[in-house]
Order: sequence, then structure tokens, then C-alpha cells
Amino acid sequence: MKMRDWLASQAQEIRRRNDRQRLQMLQCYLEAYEARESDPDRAYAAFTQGRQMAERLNDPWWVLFYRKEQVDALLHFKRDYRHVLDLAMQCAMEVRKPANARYPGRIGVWDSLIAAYLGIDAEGYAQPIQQALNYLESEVPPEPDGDRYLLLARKRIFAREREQLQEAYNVCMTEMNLGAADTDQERALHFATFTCCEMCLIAGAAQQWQTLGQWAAAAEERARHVGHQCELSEALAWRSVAALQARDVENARRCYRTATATADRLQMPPKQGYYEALALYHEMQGDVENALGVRDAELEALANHGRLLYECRVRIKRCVLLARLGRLQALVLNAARETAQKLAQPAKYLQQLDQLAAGAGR
Amino acid sequence: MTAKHRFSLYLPGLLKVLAEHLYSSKKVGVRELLQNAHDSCVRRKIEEGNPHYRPRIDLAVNPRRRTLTIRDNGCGLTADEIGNYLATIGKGYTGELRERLAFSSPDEASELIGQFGLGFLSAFLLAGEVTVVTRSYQGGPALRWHCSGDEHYEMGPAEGEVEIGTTVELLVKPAAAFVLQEQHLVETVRTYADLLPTPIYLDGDPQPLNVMTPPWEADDLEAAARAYAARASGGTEPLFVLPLRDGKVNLGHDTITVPLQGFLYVPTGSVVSVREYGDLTVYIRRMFICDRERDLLPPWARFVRGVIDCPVLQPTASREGLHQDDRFESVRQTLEDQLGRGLRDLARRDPERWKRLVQGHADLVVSWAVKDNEFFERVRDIVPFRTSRGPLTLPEYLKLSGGTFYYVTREMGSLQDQLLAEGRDVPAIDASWFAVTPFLGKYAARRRDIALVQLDGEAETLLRPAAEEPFANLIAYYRGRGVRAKVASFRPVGMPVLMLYPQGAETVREAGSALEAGGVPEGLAGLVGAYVDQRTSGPEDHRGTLYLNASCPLVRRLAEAAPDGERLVAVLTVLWQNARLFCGRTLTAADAARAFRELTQAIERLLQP
Repeated sequence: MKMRDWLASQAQEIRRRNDRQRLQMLQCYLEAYEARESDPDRAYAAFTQGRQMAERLNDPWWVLFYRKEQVDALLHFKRDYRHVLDLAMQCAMEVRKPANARYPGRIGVWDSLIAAYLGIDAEGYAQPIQQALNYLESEVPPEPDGDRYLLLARKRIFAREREQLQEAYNVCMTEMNLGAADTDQERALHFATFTCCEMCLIAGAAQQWQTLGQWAAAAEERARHVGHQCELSEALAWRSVAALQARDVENARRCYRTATATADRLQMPPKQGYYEALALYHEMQGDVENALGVRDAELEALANHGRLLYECRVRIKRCVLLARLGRLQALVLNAARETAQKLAQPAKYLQQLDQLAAGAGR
Repeated sequence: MTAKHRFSLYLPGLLKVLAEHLYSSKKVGVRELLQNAHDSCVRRKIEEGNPHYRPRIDLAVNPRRRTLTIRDNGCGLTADEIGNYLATIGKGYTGELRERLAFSSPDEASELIGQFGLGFLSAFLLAGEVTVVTRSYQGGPALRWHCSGDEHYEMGPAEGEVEIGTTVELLVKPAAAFVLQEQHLVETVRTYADLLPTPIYLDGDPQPLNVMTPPWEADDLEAAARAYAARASGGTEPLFVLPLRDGKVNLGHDTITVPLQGFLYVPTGSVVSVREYGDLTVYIRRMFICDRERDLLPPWARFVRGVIDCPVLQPTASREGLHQDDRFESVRQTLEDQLGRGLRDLARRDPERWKRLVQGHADLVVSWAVKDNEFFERVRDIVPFRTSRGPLTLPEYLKLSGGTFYYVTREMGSLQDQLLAEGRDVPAIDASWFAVTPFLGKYAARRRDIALVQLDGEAETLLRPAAEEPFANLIAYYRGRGVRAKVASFRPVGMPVLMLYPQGAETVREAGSALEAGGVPEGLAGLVGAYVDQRTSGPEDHRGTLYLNASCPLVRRLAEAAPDGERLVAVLTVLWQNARLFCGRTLTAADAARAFRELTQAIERLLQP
């Protein structure tokens, strides 16, 4: 049975029996999902409350379900990776027990564990992540389904985190093809929103401006359709870059304003693509100061949240901008080094920092 | 070459959709017909200008004939008006009249409710056949209109003596039979039309069914609001009532007035739940719209309830909800302004009541205060927290703890965690509610002399270093058994040993065991292995550390005992197993079996002469 079918059948049965306690427990999920962008803390609390209710009701699959949702809230809503591994591993240990052999969310549990490592240090854990992805590839049916979409998303992020943009692009195209073949178009649109945002990131990095404009428009359309505000802000940020490149300055400014206003209304931290687009927007205009401001905001949102590789890269980007402004100081370099040292394979980044330090010293 | 075409309508289909699917409940049909009757009375009052006119609506039920009759002595309809309005979907006289009166007589305009010209269709929610007999105050013959729910209707002169006004007779469908039961009909009228200013009578009863006067128009608003809130809260008096008034909203380029009546109130307490909402009951021109509107109050005001009447709110076509448009936003802002001002005023004017309010809704208040600095300042010293010694405010807590917050983030933590805190003669704060830890952090950030100690996972901060040498024999015994043992000084002194594990230790242990036993799929073993390696490569020992209390008289006595005495070994075993049992860690069946086996053996040894 698929997770979605299990949830639907559970909800139907709970409603049919008018089981008030379980109805309340079910409500926690809806409450959490509703609050995920506007108030991720509350979303996490709602999942926690759902788990506590499930524990009181002695319903192990629901306990596991809510614990896994807690993991996902940390990963995707709060983007706080500090303690997520323990919780993700708890779920992983639980799901392998014989009593949970038929638990329909089994793949999702492993997916969350992979997502946690991807967000912490995808380069450092590349080998076990690759093995885990290979394993899931053999477990997940090829047809359109939530698990297949998630697996492709992990592959795509894995490729991007290792700076293999062509591979990331290929996975994106596979995702889009999967969506086109999906009979559930709402689900396809939901996942396509993330894929389109990723396409923007890839096109932006490759400086393929026309393609960027097309993917940004596609991302915006899908984000509006499914109501994902965080992705909408990201898509609009990319649209501002594409418009600026096309010398449509007024439109670029409008998109930029709408992007930042949309993101500011949310408490869910924006994703990497959002900051990447905003920084690029300023850099394209030679406005290093404001690009630095974007990186400062990005660092503030992610520093000390356990996202080691991402934090290290942002710190280095800040160092580069500060160097361009002639303001790179040892304190900033040392903070970046300290972050790099936490990585499993820090050499590449330490070398970049050394080069920056040498440049600044000249 | 393109050409312009006109949509064609399939009337029976449209009628079915509008009549049967526009509304979520058949009860709404009663509301719509009552509202039409009321509007008709208002129109007559406005247009006829007769000072002796007394509007009324009469309901009559005939269960035998299965009819519900709604009669008003309003303006009635002419033949033209029947054609133009009653029989034209989407066109209503009331909406047009309101627009005409909007500038010349806004007070009268505000009494009118109808808007869309759809309401009459809802008669077919309740009835298979509808007969209307009407005579206009403007003169002309009395008319009879009849429709069986399809696209055709009949119209002709009405027979007999007909007074000015309109009578709608419904031949009720079996599915809507509830309206033929007096109790259900009365409940429906009171739900939807209790506040309508036109009296509604049932079967000739001289007492109207509806109260007509909303509480916010009572002479003593405060008392009426309190009575309303007490009824809504199951008989308990609200802690705070805030009457609402028209508000001004600054749009930047302009300022608009938002007409607003009603009141907000705060019940005595709220359930600890993230699912608590600030619910509003919403009326538009005294006609009930909904009773669980959750987006009009600001997100932080989940402990607030209220009832409002606001004519600028735009109902949906079914009038069971509200459009979230610019006007909705203006009303939301007005409510937020007035509520914020009202609460600030309460805090200043009546600190005791304010304190009760904060204490009654502590969890919700804490989560709001984390996000709002001004509010944080107002509540930080009066909001109570659950502690191992019952509810305490932070100043009360700090007096006991000497300037440190000791808290547990797991629900109530382990017994050992609490005991450690109590050992320092301080209670432990229960920080399992998601907003408590950030609240404590925010509080501590404002006062540099306050320290924060999370007991679960960081309990070592409560231990004081102590020399190992006097306890060397005990340490050696435990280390000999593969137990990581240390000496420290901690309170309570009656607690001889404790076992501390770093966070996640249990999961690390389980993951390690699973790997060893081959219980993880091969492709995933790499990730699990990485987790175990990373967690066990640091300075923390995930097998746990046993701390011997250097301040404990029993431990001191044991340290002086013969190092290899059998009794000593038995006592040390009992102490170790006790520590494992109290440390708040889940024991596996194997752990428990081992603990009981060792304890039994130790006790047997101690019992030997």
C-alpha cells in the first residue's frame, strides 16, 4: 500500500467511526502543513503534538508517521539540521523492525535520512549517500509516485551539491518527464514546482539567461498553482535576474520587490536558489555592497543550523565579496576556516580560503 | 477571422447547481427566505414612509400538508418586479436599492442584507414546489407565482383577500423535513436571524422567536457582552471584554473608516494546544454568516474570541464565508489595532486581571511573546511556567534558582534530571512546549546575569569536579566491569550515583547494534555507519558515564571499605543498576532482564550472613 492510500484509508476510517481522539490527532497534520511556511515552529509543534497523541493512543505506525514528519519539518520547514540526524536515525531504526515491515512510509523514512545527510555535508558523505540512493533506486517502482519523485529530488540535489550541474539537469528532465506521465496532475505540479526552481538555479549558474527566464516563469506558474509561497519567492527572484539580463529593468525591479516581500512574509527560511538569485541580481549591476547584504542575510538564516557544506560555501562567497570591496579581514576568514574544518573533506575549501587570504594580503 | 459569440445557458442545470450546491446546508434556505422577508419590510419602511408601519414576519408550519409558510408584511411585489427580480437569477432589487441609498441614506442602506439576487433560489433547497402570493404596497392586483423547481413558472392573479406583503409557501422535500419540526425550525431561526430587527413569529405565538437586539446595542454593553461570552464559554465569566467601535485604517495615501460593532473577549483559560484558534462569530447587517472565522484576528490572538457585525465585509455567494479581499484586510487590521490597544490598556489599568489573563493562556501567550518584543516586555515577568514545583513566574523561579534557568526539553524530563535540579534546591522548568526555550533565551538575553542550563543532555553542568583519588577503589571496580566511571560532587547528597548519557546516545547504541547484527539493508549501512562513527568518535561516550557523588556519605563510606569485599561488590552493583533505571533511558527487554538478574544476585549476596 502507498503512503497516500494508507493515510486516506485511515482518515476515512477515523471519520467513519467518529473517533474523536484520532480525529484530533489527524488534525495535527493538517494544522502543521497549513502552518509550514508561515510558522514552521508551530508546524513542528503540531507534529510533536500529533506524535504525543499517537503515543497516548498506542498507535505505533502513527507515532512513526509523526516522528518522520518532525524530521521533515526540521529539514524542509525550519531548515534546522542541528539535531535532525538523531531523530531521522530513530525513525530509520524503528522502520526496520519486523512490526513495521509493511509500514507504507518505509521509503520516506530512508529518504529523510538521505535528505539530512545531503543538507549537512553532501560531499563528505558522498559515498554512503550514493550507496543509499542506489539502494532506493532498486526499491522504488519506476512509475510516477511520491517515493519516485522524492528519490529523483534527492539525486538532483546530490548532483547539484557536488557541483555536477549537467547531472542535476538530467535528473530535472527525468523529473519533468515523470510529471508529464503522471495521471495525478496535482501531485505532478507540486513536485514540478521544486524541479523548475532547481532548473533556475542550474540555468543561473550556467548563465543561460533565456532558459532561466523560461524556467522562472514555469516555476512561478506552478508555485502559484499549488500555493507554495517559498518557491514563489524563489521563482520571482530568478525572474528578476532574467528580466534584468533582458534589460527590462522595470520588470526586474518589480519581480525583485515581489520576491522579497513574499519571502519576508514567511517564517520558513528561503532556499539557496532565492539568495543565489538576489545576489546575482545585484552583482549583475556591479552592486557588490548589496550582493554582500544578501549573503549576510543568507548566512544569518543558516549559520549554526548544522548545514555545514552550505554554510561553508556561503562564508566563502562572502569572503570573495569582501575581498572585492577590500574589506576582507582575518576574523571573517577564520570563521570560514572554522566552518570548513567541520566538513569531512575540507581541503578544497581551505585552499580557496588560503588563496583569498593571500590575495587580501597582497 | 474571429467572431464574437454568446454563452448559452442550460437553465435547469444552472438552477440545480445554484439551488442545491451553492449552500453547504439546507438550513441556509431558511436564512435566505427570512432575509428576503426582512429586506422587503425594510424596503417598505423606506419607500412608503408610513410612521405607523410595524414590520413583522410570520412563520407557519403544517406538518400534515408538509408546508412551511413565511409571510412578511413588507413591500410586496408588482408583476414587473416578479419578472425582473424574483424570476431573474443574479438580479435583486435589494442590491440596487442599497446602491441608490448608499449616499442619500446610508443608515437605511445598511439595514438591507440581500446582494446577489440568488437567495430566493435556496427555497428549492427545502422545497420541491414554491408558491408566492404577493401584493405590492405600490398598488395593483395581488399575484400568485408558482414554480416546481424547473425553468418554468406560472403567474396569475391571486384569489381572495390578500394583504400587502409576500407569502412564500414551501412544499417541503422529505430531505428537508427538519423545518417541519418546531424545535429545529426555532433553532435555525435563532442561529441565523436572532439579531434581525424584524420580529419573527411562529404559528401566531405573540412572543417573537428572535431577540432582535444584538448585545452591542444593549444599554449596558459591558454586561450584555459578558452575558453573551459567559453563554458561549459554558457559563464561565470572561476575563476580559473589549467593545469594538468603528476604526480608521491608514492606507498610506488615504484613511478609511471601517464600521464595526461587537466585542472581543478572552475566556478564563485555553487548552494547551497548537490547534487553538481565535474564533470570531461574524454577522453582516445582523445576519449571521459564520461562527468560526479564524483569519480575522491576528495569529497571536488565539486566546481571543468575539462576535462582530461589519457591513463592509463581503460574504461569498452562499454567504457562509467571507471574501478575503481588501476590506477583509482593513477589518483585520482594525481588530488588531483595537485588540492591541485594549490589552495594553488592561495591563496598565487592571494589572491583576491582566495577570490572570496571561496566566490563563500561558502557552499561547508565551508563543506570541517570543515573536513580539513589546508584548514580551509586558508578560515576561507574569507568565507562569510549569516546573517540578508547580507553576512559577520567572522572577519567582529566579529567586529559587539563584539566577539560572534549569529546564528540560523532553516532556518533564527524566526523574534523574529533575532530581539533579532539585539537588541544587531549584525546580526544573518544563520546556517541552516549543516556545518555552526561546522565551527563556530571550529573557536571559535581556539580563546578563542569567544563565541557561538544559538538564536533558547537559546535566554535567550541575556537577562539580571532585578528586578521584579517595574513590580510586570504586572507580577501579566499575572500570574493571567496563563501566565508564567518574567522580563528581552534586546535590542532593543523598543521591549516591547517577548515569548520564549524551543526547542521541540511545539511537547511537541501537544503530550500532543493528549494524553489528546485519539488521540494516546493505545499501543503507553506509549512512548508518557514518552516523555511528561520527557520534562515537567525539569525546562523548555513548555508553554513558556513571558519576559517583563525592558528597554522598554512603559513597564516602564505601570508598573506605575493603576493595574486594563481596558485600561492597553487591552494593556497587545495586547502585549502578539503580542509576541505569532512573536515568530516563528506555530499557530493552534484555537490559531489564540483566538489571533484575544482577540486582537479585546482589541482594542475595547482601542477605547472606
